[in-house]
Amino acid sequence: MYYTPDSILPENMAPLIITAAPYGPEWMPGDADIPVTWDEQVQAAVDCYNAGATVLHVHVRDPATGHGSVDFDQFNYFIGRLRQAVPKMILQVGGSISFAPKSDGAKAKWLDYDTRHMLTELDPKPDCVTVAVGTTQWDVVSIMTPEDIVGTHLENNPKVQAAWAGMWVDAGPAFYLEHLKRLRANRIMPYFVPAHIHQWELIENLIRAGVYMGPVNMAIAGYGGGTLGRNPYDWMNFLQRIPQGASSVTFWASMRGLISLSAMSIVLGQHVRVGNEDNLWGADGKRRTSVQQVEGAVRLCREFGRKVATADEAREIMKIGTWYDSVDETLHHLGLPPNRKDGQTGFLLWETDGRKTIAKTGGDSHPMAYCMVPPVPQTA
Amino acid sequence: MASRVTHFEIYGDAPAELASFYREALGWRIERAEGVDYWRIQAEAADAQAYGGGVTYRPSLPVQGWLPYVQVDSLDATLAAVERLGGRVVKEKTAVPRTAWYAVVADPAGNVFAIWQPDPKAFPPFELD
Repeated sequence: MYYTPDSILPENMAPLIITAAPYGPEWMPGDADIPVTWDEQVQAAVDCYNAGATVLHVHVRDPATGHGSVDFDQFNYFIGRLRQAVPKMILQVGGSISFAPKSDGAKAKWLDYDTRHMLTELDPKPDCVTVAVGTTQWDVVSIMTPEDIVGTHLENNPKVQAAWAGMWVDAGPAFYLEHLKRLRANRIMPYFVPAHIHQWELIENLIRAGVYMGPVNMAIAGYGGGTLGRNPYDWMNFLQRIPQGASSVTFWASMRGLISLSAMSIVLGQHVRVGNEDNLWGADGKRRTSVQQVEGAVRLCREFGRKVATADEAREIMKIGTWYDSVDETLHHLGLPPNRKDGQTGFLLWETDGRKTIAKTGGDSHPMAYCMVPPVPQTA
Repeated sequence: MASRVTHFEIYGDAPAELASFYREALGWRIERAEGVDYWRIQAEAADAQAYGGGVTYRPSLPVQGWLPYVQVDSLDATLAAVERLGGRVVKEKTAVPRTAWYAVVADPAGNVFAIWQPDPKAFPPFELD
């Protein structure tokens, strides 16, 4: 992204989109404010929305077992209830889920990655599904301190800590090429989650190849341990590589490091995600619930003088429901140079004949050029 | 206190159809629990001692018949007694969140049944995929 001198003034920034992640699939009720029953899980969304969150990162906990659900029907049921309880909220389903077929017939139908591709067939549809592009190690405990896990089941539990340390996300081309195709077919937007610059390069290549044609909403995933860490220079370096036309960029990080990075994100005009999935603490080292974290992000944003987005504004900023029909259209909206044509040399720019033209693409802004061209008089 | 049989479960690959079967065959009132694959059976008039159960998908247990649940004072003590007396544990201690602990065991002759200890604080340990 490119910053002009007035870009960092709060009044020139897009309103802040706050994503709430209140379902902490890695925690248990004794660890944090974890909702278990259906009513509790729905209420968590309502409370986060009322506090100022406009995007909900959805995980589903099976109230019958207490574990993260792998039941396709339960996802559909829960999304249906969320649509009723928080109809304006943007629902973003966590993509790290592999559904368990229930019957022999279903097991025969859903093979290998199909159990992950089932996310693309959720009904009712969510607005987005998170998509990892590129296989990555996610040793999330490597960046945590002993204080971060006080009072959780990780404390004094080296066996579970070792299990967490061994986490990795399987997202090779055999998965993401088909997954993006099915998301488009079902009109569910991907929410990209690159863990470092080189995964953004993969995403850009997918766009240049026409595998994905649409607005880019993305996280920068900075949980350490194979994903981006907490070095602000690395975050700035990553931010510099993201195209000017990306609809939204959200900083994802963990524990108290999230608070500093959220502050950075807010003053840089980017967006934040908070909640017990990422962090359990306030800056003072005391526990904070997901709702309290949302309230904290709202306070910080208002103190800086930036507006917090309404749900309608968040939907518009993220261009929810918008799809493009060509590679060029996508690159143009993203502010990326075009693809190289055969034999073309030099750095690439969009072609122009140097003449004033009527704006063809208004995008989200007012088509000024069109207004400044007087209509041609019509004669009989 | 003597342990008593409190409820039972019936398993199948198509539990909704199975629930319909029992509704018609035995006249039971069976309703699906909201948002989960569990059809609650009310086999008797509702009162505190009613003997009921549920229909759900077949778990990976060596059970073809109905599975009776016996309420015990201590699941851990009963599991130890079962093993000491020549029985075996078929499914280890498992939580029904904020409701109870249960396990499935077999007697020395191989007859399978479940034991159940109510506990509003029950919750499963964390499991990584």
